[in-house]
Amino acid sequence: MNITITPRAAHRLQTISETDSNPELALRVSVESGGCHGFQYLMSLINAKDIDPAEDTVFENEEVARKTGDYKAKIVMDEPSLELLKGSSIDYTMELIGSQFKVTGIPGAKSSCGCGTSFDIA
Amino acid sequence: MPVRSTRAPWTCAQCLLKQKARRALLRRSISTSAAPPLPPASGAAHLTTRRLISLHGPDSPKFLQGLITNNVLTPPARQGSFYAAFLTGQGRVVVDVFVYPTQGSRWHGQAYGDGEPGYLVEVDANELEVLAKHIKKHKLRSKFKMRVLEEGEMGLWSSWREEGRWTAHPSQDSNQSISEEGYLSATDARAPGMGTRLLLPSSSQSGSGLPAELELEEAPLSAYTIRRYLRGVPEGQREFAREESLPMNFNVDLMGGIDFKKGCYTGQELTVRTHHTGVVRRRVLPVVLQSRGEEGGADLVYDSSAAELIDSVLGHEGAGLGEGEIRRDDQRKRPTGKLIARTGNVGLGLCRLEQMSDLSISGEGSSFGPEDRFMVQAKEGDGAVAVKAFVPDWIRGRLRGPKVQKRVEM
Repeated sequence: MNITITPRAAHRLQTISETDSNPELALRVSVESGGCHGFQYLMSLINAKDIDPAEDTVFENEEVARKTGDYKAKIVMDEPSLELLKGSSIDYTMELIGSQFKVTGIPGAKSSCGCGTSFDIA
Repeated sequence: MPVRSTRAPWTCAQCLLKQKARRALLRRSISTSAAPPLPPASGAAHLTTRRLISLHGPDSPKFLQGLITNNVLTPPARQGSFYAAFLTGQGRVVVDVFVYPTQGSRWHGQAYGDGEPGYLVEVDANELEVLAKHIKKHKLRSKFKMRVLEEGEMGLWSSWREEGRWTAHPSQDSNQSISEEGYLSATDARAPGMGTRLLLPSSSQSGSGLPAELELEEAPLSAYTIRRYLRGVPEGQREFAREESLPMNFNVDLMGGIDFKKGCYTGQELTVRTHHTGVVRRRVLPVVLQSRGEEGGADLVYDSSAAELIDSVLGHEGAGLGEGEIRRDDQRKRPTGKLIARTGNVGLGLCRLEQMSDLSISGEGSSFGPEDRFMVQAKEGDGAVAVKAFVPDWIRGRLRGPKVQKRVEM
């Protein structure tokens, strides 16, 4: 099972980790029902200590994004969320309306809504 | 003197139709049962076409809120039962449902005996598995338990009383889900006079099925259906096809099933956009069917003798479903709607409002005139009957006028 972390997302996570001086920083992505298209994903920054090894899967970037530090970007997903999101990639988009982490290229998604956080599984 | 042939060659189509009807009537009186009787002024019908699913657990309100068109969490958390629909992401109806919050009821106490929120969701019996699957698919990690109630575990009844002709539109806080007698219930506020829905635990259903304290006679399911058709209330996926129908075409908005301010739910995007920027040109209206040529002063009433005549032309209701296209009865016979359900001479039509009624929906206005005639053709044979659509006061009252495009002068 693979999750792609784009360089932009890795950079951003590293920056956050450095400004918070928290080397244990991780991004949790979870899926819930609801949203305009049936499922929506939620994101939160967590501490690697809070990961429940029974339920969660941690993905770590293979290399350090920026050579100034040694933080490797970490993404945490729980079992049902991973089931829906496997094969997708985590990106950090910079747009006029705001910059945000985004899940893109969800393989099972049939359609998604205008804001992009809600999707439907075929 | 020449003998005249028994069958005059110039018999007009109308008379042939009547002859055929009379013959069919004779046949029917021997072979099949007659048309359903007129619904009683007061009564209660056992809704065997509907089943129940129980959701129970701390996340159940939040879960339902994300999937249905109505607001579960109206602060403070909603106590009353309400009407709503599950939609697909593309805004098509999966199922139409009634939701009964059970917390605080006798049934909830016996079944779960705790303070966690719980709901009973009432759904078309044929779509029970579909809804159960839909809920399972979206459950993920939500903390609640889903259980399909056994048939007969709880009886669903619709009751109506003569004096209760004008059911008020229930305000959201006053509509408790528990009736005076202590049963789980819902004011059926889809249209005035639809009465009350009651969930009777199997223990209270004695021989006849109805507890004596309600002082109501049992009526057949057809009575409920006819009352529904006369008011223009569609229900179940035989009437609004699953994953094809748009909620507003089927009056779900007018029947109080959609909260346009609640926030995200599945299917919200299209629904809200249509509400605010679009025009709903087609809606379900009650229709009356008659012999062609007789449709002058038709009234919206069920008539079991007329019902037999219509059955003889179109076939027995339910025989051919997706009952057929409603067309303008002129040379071109252009379609103006669809007959979606029928019992005898009354039914429901999905009608183009500006062609089949005097309602003005868009800027163009209605093209309807009292001399316009519409008809529906039989599935088999060349028989056809006239169709007349009616706009009930409640629909007229809840519809908004056409939007005026305001031009901004610069």
